[in-house]
Amino acid sequence: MTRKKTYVADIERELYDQRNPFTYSHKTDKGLTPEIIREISAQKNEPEWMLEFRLRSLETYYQLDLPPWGPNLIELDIDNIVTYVKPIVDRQYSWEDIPDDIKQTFDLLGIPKAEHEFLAGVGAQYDSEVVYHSIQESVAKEGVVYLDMETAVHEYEDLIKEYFMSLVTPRDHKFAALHGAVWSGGSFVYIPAGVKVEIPLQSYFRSNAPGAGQFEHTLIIVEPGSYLHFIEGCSAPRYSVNNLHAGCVELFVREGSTLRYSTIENWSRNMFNLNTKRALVERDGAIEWVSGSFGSKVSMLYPMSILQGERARAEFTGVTFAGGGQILDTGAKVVHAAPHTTSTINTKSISKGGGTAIYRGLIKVTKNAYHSKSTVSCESLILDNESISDTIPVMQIDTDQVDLGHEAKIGRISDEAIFYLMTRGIDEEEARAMIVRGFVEPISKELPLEYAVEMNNLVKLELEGTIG
Amino acid sequence: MANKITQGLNVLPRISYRWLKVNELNFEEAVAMPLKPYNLDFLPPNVDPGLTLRKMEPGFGDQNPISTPFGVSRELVELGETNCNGGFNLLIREGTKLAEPLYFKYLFNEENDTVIDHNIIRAEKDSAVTIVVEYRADGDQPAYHNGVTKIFADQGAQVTLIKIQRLNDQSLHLDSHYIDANPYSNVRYLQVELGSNFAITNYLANLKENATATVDGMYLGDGERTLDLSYQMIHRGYRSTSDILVKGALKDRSRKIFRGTLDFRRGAHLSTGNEEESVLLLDPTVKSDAVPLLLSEEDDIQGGHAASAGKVDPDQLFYLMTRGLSEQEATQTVVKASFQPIIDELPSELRRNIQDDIKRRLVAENV
Repeated sequence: MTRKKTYVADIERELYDQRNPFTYSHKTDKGLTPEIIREISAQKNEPEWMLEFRLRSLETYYQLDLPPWGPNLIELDIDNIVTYVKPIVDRQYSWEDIPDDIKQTFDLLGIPKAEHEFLAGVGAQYDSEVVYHSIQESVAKEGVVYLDMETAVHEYEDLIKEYFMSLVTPRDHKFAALHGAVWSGGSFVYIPAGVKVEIPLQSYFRSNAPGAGQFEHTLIIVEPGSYLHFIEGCSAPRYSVNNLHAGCVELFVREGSTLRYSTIENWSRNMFNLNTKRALVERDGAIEWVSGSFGSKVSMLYPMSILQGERARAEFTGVTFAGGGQILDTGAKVVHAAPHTTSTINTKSISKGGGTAIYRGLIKVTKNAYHSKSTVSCESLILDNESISDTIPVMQIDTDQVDLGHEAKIGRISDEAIFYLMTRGIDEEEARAMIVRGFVEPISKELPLEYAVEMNNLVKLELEGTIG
Repeated sequence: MANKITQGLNVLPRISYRWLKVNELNFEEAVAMPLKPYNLDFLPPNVDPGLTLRKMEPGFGDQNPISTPFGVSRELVELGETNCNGGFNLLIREGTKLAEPLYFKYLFNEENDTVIDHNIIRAEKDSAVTIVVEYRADGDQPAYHNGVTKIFADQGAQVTLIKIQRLNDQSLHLDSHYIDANPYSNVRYLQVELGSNFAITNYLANLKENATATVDGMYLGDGERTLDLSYQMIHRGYRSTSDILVKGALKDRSRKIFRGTLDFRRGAHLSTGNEEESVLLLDPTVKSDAVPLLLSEEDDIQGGHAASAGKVDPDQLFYLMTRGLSEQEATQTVVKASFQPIIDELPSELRRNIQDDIKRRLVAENV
């Protein structure tokens, strides 16, 4: 029995694959040595404590082993990766001053247009350094700080010294240690108490150099009673050599504040994306993650929410689309460490053309986290029998006063759903298209309109016959 | 001799984050499994002419070596095969359908405190059999059990295996199961875990096309018990069906790890698998871990898992209390009710006894 199958197109990559000639004002040698670390630190004119931090992290890097679980990382040869590439441009606050080829790249990605239309601030990173940063005057007036990390290290040295890699420490895992040693670029955001930033801030990370690593650090502090929506976008053109992205995101969500953190990740298919994201949420605070994983060769990404204060809340909405040759190992971790905390995890994954989509998650409820509540739902759609989909959740409960529910489903589109839509007068093909669009809709509706359109373009469907 | 049990027990088929320490079970100190004879009679009398039943000999060579790794650990499976002091080799001939269950009973006492049983059950085409195995140790003398059970169900065979573990709270219970479910066979496994200090069980089924394998489990954790329960359904053939349903309750300082895997291999199209674990948490001092894995290489399958953990539903408690039950009585009623579907499947002469045991353990205040 051969069924006609719906064809789901590969992600259109033309736009992202625009390569610029590889130019730089400074780059380090390949590999990882204390000399390279000193060189990066000197280029950035950093305070002594940061250099020491980097060197300590490098030692930790050598001590730690690769994780025995998850995708195979043997192919990733750090000795062949250039950890620092400084573009030929200093940080600019005016778009006009950026060199044409870099400007064109960001123009094509729609960054200045987006800034103009619906963002309160924009940061753009090209290889290892931030090339453009701006924030709307009205937002800045309220005391909101939105800076590239390098500038923040100088201007807000005390704050950075206190918080930098305190939530994700270099001892966490090998790539956190690597990040601590060679980090470069990224954003620092500080929202004062009670300030609600109505329009989102966005940082866009573009990696152009072949065989290079990008290690940006994002540190966000939202003070009590404030609100922020932060959007992170990433892309890179494709090269035949492996690139590495080992970014780190640390989010501090204070009492009664809400932080929404959205990511559309569309790295090229030669990228190892080993990113670490973590949020610490205090009393009555909320972290809302929206995460779309489309690109990269291998991804390991499990944003973690630590609910430290009473009634803190975490929400995670994620979509993963794994095409041929991709292994996207993604998920969410929540630690309920205080009473009356709640979490909701909702993920969808699609694998096709030999791709592997893995959900790997964790719900941990500590002894004192009584009356906590958690709901997890994972749905996977496999579009052919060359592809793989795995669900690997762990639930760990150390108290009796919890209400925990976990559900996962894997498989094809149900005939009942098709039949129902057809009884409503919709033809079969349209019914199937509706269901696939509906499958990813929970995430696209969480995104600002422009991004939802971009995401829908990423998941292009050419429908013919059946799915599954 | 590998009779020391230390680490690497019930390893997950896909491991995850190390800091959680759920990838496998490790003993802090090595536990030695005594190697000594077991002299009590455990075989059922009155054997039907449609079957051949023999006591298992140590080192009995399998005609069909099992290529899929299975069991609590490889060493423990080997220990069972080479050093068994109990167990049976059972053949049910083609078309033989047994009306009455075969009942194997291992009692433990001071001289006979160790059972290492290796069981092979081969059910030929279109046969049907129910096998009950009970392990029971009263008193305070620690009992040691390491079991290896292999079921080969030929085309259309129907096999039900019921295992009841009621060792005392000082005991060690290790039990490995391998199921070979051939086309159109149906293998059911009912598991009742009520005792031991450590109860570590492992189940793996290979499902061919149109085969069905099911697990219905119930456990009660009380005192200091550690339960580590692993189940793995490997769908290799098309249109195969699996179902895992495990219900339990934890009280005192007991701890449970549930590991359940539905694994759809390439070629298992049109298969369905379901996995459900629910646990009632009765004391704040319990620990409950669950790792329900869902693995698939096929598009045209349906797999689902659900896990839930929590207190007894307050609405149910309230209703029962309006009927005059105390909170404790109401809680017990809800727990017992969740076990009832499995209790109903047990041989009638065992039912009352097991219900009393559950009641006693639920009431006991293990301070």
